[in-house]
Amino acid sequence: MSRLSKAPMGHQIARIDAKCRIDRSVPVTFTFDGRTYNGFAGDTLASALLANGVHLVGRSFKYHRPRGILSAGSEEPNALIRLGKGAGAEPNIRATQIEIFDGLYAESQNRTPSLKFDVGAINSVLGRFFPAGFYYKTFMWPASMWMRYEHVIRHAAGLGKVADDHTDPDRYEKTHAHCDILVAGGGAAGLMAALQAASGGARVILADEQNEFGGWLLGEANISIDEQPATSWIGKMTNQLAAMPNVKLLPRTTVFGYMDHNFLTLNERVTDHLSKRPAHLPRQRMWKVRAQQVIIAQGAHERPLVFAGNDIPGVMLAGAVRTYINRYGVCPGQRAIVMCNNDDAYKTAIDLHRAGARVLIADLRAQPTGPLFQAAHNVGIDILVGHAVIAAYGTHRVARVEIAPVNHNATAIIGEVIHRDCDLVAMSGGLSPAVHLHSQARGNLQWDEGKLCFRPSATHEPSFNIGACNGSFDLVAGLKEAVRAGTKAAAASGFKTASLTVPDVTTAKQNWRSAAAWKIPNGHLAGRGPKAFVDFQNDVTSNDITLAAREGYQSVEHLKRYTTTGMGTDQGKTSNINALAILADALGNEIPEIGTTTFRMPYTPSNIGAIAGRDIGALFDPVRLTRMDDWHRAAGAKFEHVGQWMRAWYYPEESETMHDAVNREVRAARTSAGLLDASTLGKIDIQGSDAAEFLNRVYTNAWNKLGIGKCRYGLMLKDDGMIMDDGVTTRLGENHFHMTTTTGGAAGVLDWMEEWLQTEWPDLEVYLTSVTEQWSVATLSGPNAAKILEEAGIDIDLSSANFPFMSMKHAHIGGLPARIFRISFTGELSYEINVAARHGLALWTHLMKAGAAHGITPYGTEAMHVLRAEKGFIIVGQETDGSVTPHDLGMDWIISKTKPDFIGKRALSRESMGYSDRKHLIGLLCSDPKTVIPEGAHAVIDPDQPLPMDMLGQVTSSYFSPNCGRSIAMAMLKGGRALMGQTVYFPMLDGTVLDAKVVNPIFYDPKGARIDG
Amino acid sequence: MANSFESKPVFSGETALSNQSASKSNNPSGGAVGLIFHEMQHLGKLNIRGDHSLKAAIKAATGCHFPPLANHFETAGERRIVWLGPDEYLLLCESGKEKALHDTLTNTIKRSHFAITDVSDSLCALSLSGAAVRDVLAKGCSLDLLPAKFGAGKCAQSLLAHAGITLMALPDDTFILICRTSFAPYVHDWLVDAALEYGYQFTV
Repeated sequence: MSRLSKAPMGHQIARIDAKCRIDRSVPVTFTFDGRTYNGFAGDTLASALLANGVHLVGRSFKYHRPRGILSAGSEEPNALIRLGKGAGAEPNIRATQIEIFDGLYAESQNRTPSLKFDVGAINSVLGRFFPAGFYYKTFMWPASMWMRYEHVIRHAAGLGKVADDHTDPDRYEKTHAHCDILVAGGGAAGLMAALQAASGGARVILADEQNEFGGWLLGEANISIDEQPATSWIGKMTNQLAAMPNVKLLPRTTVFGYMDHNFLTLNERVTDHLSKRPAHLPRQRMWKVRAQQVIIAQGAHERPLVFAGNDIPGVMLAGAVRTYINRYGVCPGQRAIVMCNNDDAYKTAIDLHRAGARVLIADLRAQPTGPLFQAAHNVGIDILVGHAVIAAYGTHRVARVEIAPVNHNATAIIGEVIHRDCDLVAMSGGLSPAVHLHSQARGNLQWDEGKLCFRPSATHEPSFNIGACNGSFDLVAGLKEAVRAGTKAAAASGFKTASLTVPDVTTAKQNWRSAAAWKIPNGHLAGRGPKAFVDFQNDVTSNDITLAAREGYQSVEHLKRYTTTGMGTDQGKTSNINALAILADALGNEIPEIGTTTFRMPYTPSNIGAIAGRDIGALFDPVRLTRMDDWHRAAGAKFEHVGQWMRAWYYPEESETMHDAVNREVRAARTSAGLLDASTLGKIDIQGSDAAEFLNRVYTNAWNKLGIGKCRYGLMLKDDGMIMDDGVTTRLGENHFHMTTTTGGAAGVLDWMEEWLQTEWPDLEVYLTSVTEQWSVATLSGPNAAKILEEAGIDIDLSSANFPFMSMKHAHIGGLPARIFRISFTGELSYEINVAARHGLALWTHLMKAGAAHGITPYGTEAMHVLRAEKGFIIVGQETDGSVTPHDLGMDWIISKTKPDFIGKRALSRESMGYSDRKHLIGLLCSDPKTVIPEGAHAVIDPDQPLPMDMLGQVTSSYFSPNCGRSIAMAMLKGGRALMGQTVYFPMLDGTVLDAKVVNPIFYDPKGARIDG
Repeated sequence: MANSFESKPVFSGETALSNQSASKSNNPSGGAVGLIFHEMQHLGKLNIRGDHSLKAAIKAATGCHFPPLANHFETAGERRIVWLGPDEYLLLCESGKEKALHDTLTNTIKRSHFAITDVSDSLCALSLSGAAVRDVLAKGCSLDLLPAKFGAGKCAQSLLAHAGITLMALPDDTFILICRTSFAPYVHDWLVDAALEYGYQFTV
C-alpha cells in the first residue's frame, strides 16, 4: 500500500487496456477522503478507487476492522460511503453503485481520526471479549443505565453520520404508473422477457438498478450472442425496446418493494449521476406501479466463503473481480488466489490471467472437471484441487494466505499448509438467487441441493421468476424462461404474441453445481484463531453463530436478532445462506428445515426524501381558507388551525397583546356589535319525505313538530351514548332541512349519517349533500346588531315579533340574497348571515362599512370561545372527549323521553350512566379573580393528601372574562353537581395550590335577557 | 370540448381562484409548455341525488341522457351529467343557468325521493390540457390515465395528492378537474409544482 499511496495523482495503476464499458475519452476527477483521484465516465466509485489501487475504503461496524470492496453490485456490505457535503450529505451509499462524476465528494465512514489509523480498531484486538449478544449480556444491569450505555455504544458501533443540517436541499418526486407487465431487472433474461411481452402491444415497464441494461453479462468477456460480443446483443435489445411506444425503460431504478395486488415501488435515481443537476428535475423519483403481471429477473448474488481473514481488503467475490476486469478495465490484483467450490470462478481465473495477473486456483472440490477446468489448465494456471484458503493475512490489504488440503465438505485439514504471498483473493461459494421480491410478495422457496441455494417455487401474486433469480444460471435456460414468461404474462394481460427466437449463445459449457463447504477449518479450536466472517456489515463471525446455537438459539429469526446477522443496509444479501447453513450444521439439521428469515422491503435502502416526495412545506397538507380570508389578513389578524381550516384567531390593533385584543373584542360584542367569520361551520343539506324522521333518529330531541323557518339545537350521540357533535338545524321546507355541524366534525358527521342511511335505514327517503362551502357566513352579534343590519339595507322586518329568536328568514342585505338565521352562540342578539360563497367577501366588507358608526368589531375564534364560556355553552371536543353524555353536561332536557329510538338511546339506559361519580360539567370561580386556572389543571378535594392524590377531574375551559370582570372556568368533575358551593383545589407544577368555588357554569346573563338586544 | 365552457361568467362575485393571477413557466426542455390550465369560473353545478326514475325529467330539462354509465358522463351542448355514485350525479351547466335548471327539475320531477342542490360555489372546476397533462396528474392521482382506459367520456372520483377530486376526460387530451373550492388554491399550487419539469401556463 505504501507504494500506491505515493503514486502520482491521476495514475490509475490498476487500469488495463481491455475493451470495456468505460469511456476513456471522458476523464472524471473526484475526491475520496480529501484526496483527488481520476477515473472515467462509466466508472463506479468502487471501480475508480480500485483503478487507483485503493482497496481500503471503510471500517467495520463493531470491530472497526479495515474493509475493502467485496462486490460490484447492490449487495455490497462493506464499501459504504458518505457522499456529498453539507446539508446534501448522505451516509451509507454503496460505492459499487455510485457513478462517478466531476466534483464527486466522498468520505469513508466509522473511523476516528482517519481510515488508516482508527482508535476503534482496539475492539478487534479485544474481539474475543465481544461475542454475539455481548451488549445484551454486559449492559443488562442496572437497567436504568441502559440509556447511558446505549449512547456510547451507538457512537462506537454503527455506520455513517447523517448530514448535520437536517433540511434536505434536494427535490424529490413520486409518481403513479400502470402497466400490463413490470419486468424487474434488465439483465439478459429481463431484456428478453420485456421484448417478448411488449411484442404484442402490452404496456411494459423495464426497470434496472444499474446505469445500463445487461446485468452480469456486462462483466463477461467470453460469451458471444448471435456471433457478436454479448454487449452488442444488449445494445440491440435495448435500442429495440427504447423505440417501442408501449415500453418504458427505467435505468438507475431499483424495484425495492413488492406489495399485495402487484403494487410495486421503484426508486429512480434521476440526477444522482450528474455533475450539474438540472433544477427542474428531481434528484430521485419514487414510482408507485400497479402491474397486471410481474416478471422478476433480479439475478443472483455470489456467496463469500467463510475462512479466517476473509474480510481483509483485497479479498473479493470472484464474479466481482471479473466484472471489474471486463466492464471497468480494472485488474484488482497482480498476484491472485482464486478460491472456489464451483466452475464459475474459473472464468475469473482465466480473465485475471489474460489481464496479466499471476493466478493460483484453490478448488475445494477433489475432482473438478469440464471445459473451464481444462481451459484454465491449458493457459497454464496452477490449480490445487481439494484445497482451501484456510487463512488470509494483511493489514490494510491482503498480503499472504495459507492454503491447505481439506477433506470432502471441508470440515478438516488433511495435509501440509502452503504459504503464498498475494494481493488479491477472489472467492466464490456459489450463487444465491435473489429471491427478495418474490419473497416480499409471499412467494414460496425450495432448496436446490445441487446448486446449494433457495429458489422460488409457488408464487402468490400474478408473477414469474426467470433467469438467475429462478436458479437458472445458464444463459440459454434463462432466455428460454424469459420467452415463456413474456408470452404468458402478455397473454394473461390479453395480448397475443408470437414467441421470439432465443439467440445463439457461444460460451464454454459449465457445471452450475457447487460443493458444500460452509465453514473452512483453520486448525484452531472453536472460538480461537483469526476471525472468519459470515456477515461483513454486522461483523458476525462463524463462531458467533455456533455460539448462539450453543446458547439455545434455534430459530433463524432469533439467530438474526441475537447475532444481528442479516441486518443492516445490505440485509444479508451475501451472508444469509452461509449463516443458516452454519446454524443448520451446529444444530445437526438440514438447511431447508432451518428456513430463511423473512424478506421485507426495501430491497436496497430507499431515500425517505423520495418517499415523501413533494409532500413537504406548503404542500404537506392543504390549508383551507374562507372567502373572507383576504380581509382578515389585510386587517392583521392572527390565525389558528382548526382541522385543515385556518381561522382568524384575533385581530390585534397596533401594539395590543392577545389578551388586550381578545378583551376588546369580547367587550364590543356585548356593548355594541361584533362580527365573526363562521364560514367554516359544517353545513349539510337534508332533503326527502323522511327527513324529519331521520333527524329524530340521529339527534336526541324531537324534530317532527319543528315549524318551517324555525331552528333547533341538537346533540348527536355515538351509539355508545357519548356526545359526538352538536349544532343548529333549521327547517327550510316540509321535507327540507339545513344542518350545521362543528367545523372539525363536518366530514365525520356526513360520513356517519350517510353510513346509517345506506346500511341501516335504506328505507328512509332522505338524501344528504354537503353545502359547507356553498355558503359564506358572517355572524353579527351584539345589542346593535339589528340597527347595523337596517343601516346595511335589509328588506325584512327585524322586530322580534316578526323574526323571533331561533328562526330563519330569506332576505337581501345590500342587494345580496341571503339566508339569515337568528341563532346565538354569544347570548346576545345575533344573526348568522349566509350568502352564496361568491358574495362572502362582499357581505363582510359591506357589514363592516355599515357598522362602522357603531364601532362594529371583527372578532376571532378566541373571543368566540370566551363569549360562549361566559354563557356556559359547551364546545364539543373541548368540554367533551368522547366519554361525556348529555346527562354529564346537565342537558337532560335535550333527551326525548317519548321518541321510540335514537342513536345512543339504549346505551344511555345502562345502569352505569346514572352513577353519581360520573364527571359533571360545573363552573369554577377562582378565589383570586385575576388568576386564570390553566386548562387541563386537575382538581382535588384535599390538597394535603398523600401522593398519589385522588383526582376529581379537569378544567376544560378557562378564560379571563372582561364582561364578568374576573376569571371564569368550566370543568368536568366527579360528582360535580353535588359539590356546588364547595371549594376545590388545583396543585400546580410549581408547588403552589389554586383554589376555586364550584358554581353553576352560566356566568353572564343567566336569565337570558339579552337575547333580543 | 372544454372550450365551450369558456364563455364569460354572467354572475359577478369571487371564485375560488379569482385572486390567483395568471402565471407561467417555460418548458425547460424547450417547446410548448406541458400543462395549460384555467379555472372555469362560475360554471353552474347542481348535485343530483336520485335513481332512474328521474330519467325523463332530466332529459327534458338538460338534453342529457340519464343516467350515465358508472364512471362516465353524458354531454348535451354545454351541459354534462357526471356519474358520482349509484344515486349521485353532478350536473354541469352554463354559468348562471343553475337556478333555472334547479327550479325546472324540482317542479317536473314527479316523486318525493330525490334531491337537487346548488353546489356552484361549493365546487371549483379547472380545465387542464397540454402534452404532459397525464404525466402531471399521475404524480398525484393513482388512476390509470391511459387514453384507452380513461378516454373521453370517462370520469372518476379520486385524490390528487391530498385533495379529493372528480376527474373527467374530454377529447383532445383535455380534462376537467373538480375539487372543493377551499382546496382549489392547494390544487393550483400543487399543479404548478408538479409541472416544473414540463413548464405550465395558468390563465385567468
